[in-house]
Amino acid sequence: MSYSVTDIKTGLANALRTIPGLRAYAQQPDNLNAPFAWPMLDSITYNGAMRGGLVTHIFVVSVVVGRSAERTAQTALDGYLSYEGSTSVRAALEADRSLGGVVQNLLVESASNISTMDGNDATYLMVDFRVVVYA
Amino acid sequence: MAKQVLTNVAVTFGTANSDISNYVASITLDLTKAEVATTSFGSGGAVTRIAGLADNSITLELHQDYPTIEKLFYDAWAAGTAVPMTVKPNGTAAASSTNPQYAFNVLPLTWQSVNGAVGDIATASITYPIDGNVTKTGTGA
Repeated sequence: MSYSVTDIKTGLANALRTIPGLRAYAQQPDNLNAPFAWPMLDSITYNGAMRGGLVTHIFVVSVVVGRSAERTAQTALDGYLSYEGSTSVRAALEADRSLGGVVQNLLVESASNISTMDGNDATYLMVDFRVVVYA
Repeated sequence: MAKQVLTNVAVTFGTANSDISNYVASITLDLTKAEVATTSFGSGGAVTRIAGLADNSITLELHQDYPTIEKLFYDAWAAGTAVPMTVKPNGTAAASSTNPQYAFNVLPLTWQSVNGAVGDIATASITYPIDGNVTKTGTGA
């Protein structure tokens, strides 16, 4: 299986784009235009099997939901965090666990770090998803 | 050759010599001979012994893949007859002193079709007895 880290990021972004209304990028975007999401590579473990047979990537998919003071953002956050549903990040990412044949498997392990970030003179609600990708 | 870490062991399994290297997380080829006691009253007060029959085995920790790995090993287990295997510690290059080939037949007596905890990568652990001798090849090996 031939792939690059960029291929995986692109695959994750494509999967995130299936969530209605969510902008998704393969790289961290320059502009704050919520809601949006992007994957950031946290670590790689090589040599999980002989002859390059298993490389494990840990990605953190960050989702910036919207202005934290808005009730709609808090409601949207609930949808992104849900196990199932049309806006579930877990369901969207695991809908095709090969990312179109790029990787062998992936698993959305957890969601955490529900927090706020400042930008554009506003405070935004955000959350991180930990995604394990086996390539 | 210098000391090394194992990352490139080449493993084939089955009559079609299927390359399963990419699914092998660990491997142990265990070569053992029985110990036969020869101690007698004339042994000078010490135990004496000779080597008896070889009884070898191979242990693999595999990553599961349906059907690539599961079908291959399930079918071998279901057939219940010995199948060929080869192991080379340093890749698929021709057998040599730095990459000896070990060829043998294993008797697939066990198989784990499903193994693993929720959220973990699926694996299978096998230890197969070797049927007959292990043939080591490679110039100078």
